[in-house]
Amino acid sequence: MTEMPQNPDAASGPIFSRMRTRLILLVLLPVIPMLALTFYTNLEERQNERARVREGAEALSQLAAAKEENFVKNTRQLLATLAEFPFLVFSTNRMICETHFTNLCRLSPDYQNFGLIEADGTLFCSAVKTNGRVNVSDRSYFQRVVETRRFAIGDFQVSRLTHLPSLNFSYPVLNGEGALVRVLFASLKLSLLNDEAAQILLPNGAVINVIDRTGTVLAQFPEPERWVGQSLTNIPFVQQILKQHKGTFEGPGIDGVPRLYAVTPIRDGNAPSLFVSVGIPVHVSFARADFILVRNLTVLSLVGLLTLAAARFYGQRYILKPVVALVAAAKRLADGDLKARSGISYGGGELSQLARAFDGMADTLEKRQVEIERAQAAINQINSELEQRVKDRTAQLEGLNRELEAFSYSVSHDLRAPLRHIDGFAQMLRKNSVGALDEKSTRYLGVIGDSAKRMGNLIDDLLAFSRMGRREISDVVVDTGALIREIIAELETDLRGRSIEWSIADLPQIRGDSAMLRVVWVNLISNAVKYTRPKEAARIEIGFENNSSTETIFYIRDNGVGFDMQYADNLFGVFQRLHRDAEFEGTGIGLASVRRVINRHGGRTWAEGQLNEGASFYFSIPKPTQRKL
Amino acid sequence: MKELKRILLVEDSENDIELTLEALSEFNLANEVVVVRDGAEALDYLFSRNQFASRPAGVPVVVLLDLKLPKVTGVEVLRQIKSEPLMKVIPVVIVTSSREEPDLRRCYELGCNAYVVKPVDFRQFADAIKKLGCFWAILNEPAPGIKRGN
Repeated sequence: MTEMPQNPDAASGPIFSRMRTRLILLVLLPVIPMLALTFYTNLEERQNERARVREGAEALSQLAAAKEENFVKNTRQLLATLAEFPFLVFSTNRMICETHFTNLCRLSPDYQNFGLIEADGTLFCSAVKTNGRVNVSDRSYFQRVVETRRFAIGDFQVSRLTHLPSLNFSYPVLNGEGALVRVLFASLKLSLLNDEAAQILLPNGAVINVIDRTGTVLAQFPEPERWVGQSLTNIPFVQQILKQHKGTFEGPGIDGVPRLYAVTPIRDGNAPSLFVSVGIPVHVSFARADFILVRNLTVLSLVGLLTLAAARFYGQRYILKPVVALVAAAKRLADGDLKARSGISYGGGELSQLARAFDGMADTLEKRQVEIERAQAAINQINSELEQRVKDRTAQLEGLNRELEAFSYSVSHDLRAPLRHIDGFAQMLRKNSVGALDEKSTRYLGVIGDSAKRMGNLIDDLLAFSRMGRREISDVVVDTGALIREIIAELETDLRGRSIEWSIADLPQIRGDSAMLRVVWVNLISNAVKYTRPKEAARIEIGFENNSSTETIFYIRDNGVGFDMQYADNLFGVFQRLHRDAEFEGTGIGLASVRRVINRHGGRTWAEGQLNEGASFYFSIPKPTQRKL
Repeated sequence: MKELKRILLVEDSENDIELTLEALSEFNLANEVVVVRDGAEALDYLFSRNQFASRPAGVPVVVLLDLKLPKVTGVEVLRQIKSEPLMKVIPVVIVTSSREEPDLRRCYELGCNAYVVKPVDFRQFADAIKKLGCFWAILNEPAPGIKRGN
């Protein structure tokens, strides 16, 4: 018998009910919340980052704005101071103005131009010499200051005078009545804004730009050359700034890179004129959070793998292997190998207990098997002894039977002979003594002879009766109807001169010993014939009853002399008679023989009678299923 | 010329012998009845041996053979008669008390010509003997080549 391979990998049932799968799932279970937590933490981090970035951007933007605003403040201060000098601002001498302004430019290299403008917009004088009449009434810085009569910041422009990109500031010159007579202006080098912006420490990928209220880029860092001077009112970024004025928003910048922007306005008076925005790329800000995520995931995976491996190893060694071993042992046990044991060492845990219990059970089974085999051997021994005894007893009985056979043989020879002699010589004596003997003596001789004959009959009957009991009973189909017809035919001589009305039913076939059953019917029928002799019209009825599932009952009814029911018990006794020999001949063995045969067939015999009315004799034959012959 | 037909009676019971002879004489079967009282004598007679060495020549027309005999049994006598070529043509009638089936079977297997049971009733017995005598000694034609006794 091939051993079941103790392979823990062998498939044993649907995958999810396998122990190993369950173990693995169990181990991985905590990993799932961990994973969730990791991702959630990452999200949190990102959000925090974003917030931080926003704050950073805002701070930076405010810082930048503050720095840029310095220029505005300084310029304002300067212009306000200049406005206090009437000799300057109300001067009509162009040359002196120009000289002053030129000196001013030299002193303040941040500015590329200073100047005065008449109330109608014509340029009076400026540090940068002009060759013709210049009108600046279209410039926003001029229009603003005229409108508000306060310090104003202009928009991006390319100066007509210097042909350089510049940002102009204006200051109103008011007369004694407070009406505007002239406008002081200063033209700031735009590069300064850029330089200032550039100095701010920006994180990677961040940008600073300064936009005027028309949407033109005044300063940009990095790549100022690319963007400065461009009017970008179409770009959503610029639109957002102009709309929002202040605060933070996310979106693609001028260069298309998505960033988080913080905007800070610089005002002149009330309305914001310049917008300083700092943008920090979002992905950069998330770099750290993502890094942490990756780190955590890696660690988690490693841990998960390690745990899996540990669980697999543990499960294999401490759970699966013993379980598989137990299963195999159980199978071997079931197949008949009673020496099969778990093979698991007895430690402490539940599996050890199981193994111990299993081994204990196997021990018990083995022991019991030994006991069973022993008992079986004992039974076999007893059986063969019994068989031997049966054989001996059978031999004994057969011996006895043979003895009886010999006995009856002897009887049939040896007892008959003297009887024959008695009768014979009595007859011969009678013959010889014809005339010599008187009537009484003759009668005596007759009695002697008759007695001898009677004894002969008795012997014959006894022999027949004994043979009935000793013969082995056979089990064949007996056609009762045919048998009876045969018997009646054989009784022809006895029936001569008799008028008997026969009423015979359609008798069934039964199973039994045909010779013995013949004896039964011969006896019963000849009895019926004999005891109806006194009746003129004899009627003999033979029938059967088939109402029971266990036996068939036969009967023979006659209207003969009947008998007194009082003596019914004696009817079937050996040599028992209810009539005198003078009335009806017979030895009284007939019914005894009937009873003997029927008993051997497992049936019953009984009779009913009424004096002078008739008699009925019954016997039952068990049906084949009931037969115990 | 009517020849005497010899009957061999093999019977050990004196009474039975007397009864048989009485029956035979009753019917004037004046045949020569040779009586032997055991199986050995029967064979000796038939084979003309020993004390019968000088018996008159010829074989009986019938042998009335009882089964229960001393020395040699009737069955053995029957067997010897029926296995001897010259003897086996002699009719053998078993006349015995036993109607036991084994006896019947054995005798017929050995080739007896008839089997008659001795009834207790003398009348019946005498009747049987008469019939046997009439038949075998008078009616029956013996086998050719058997010398008639004189």
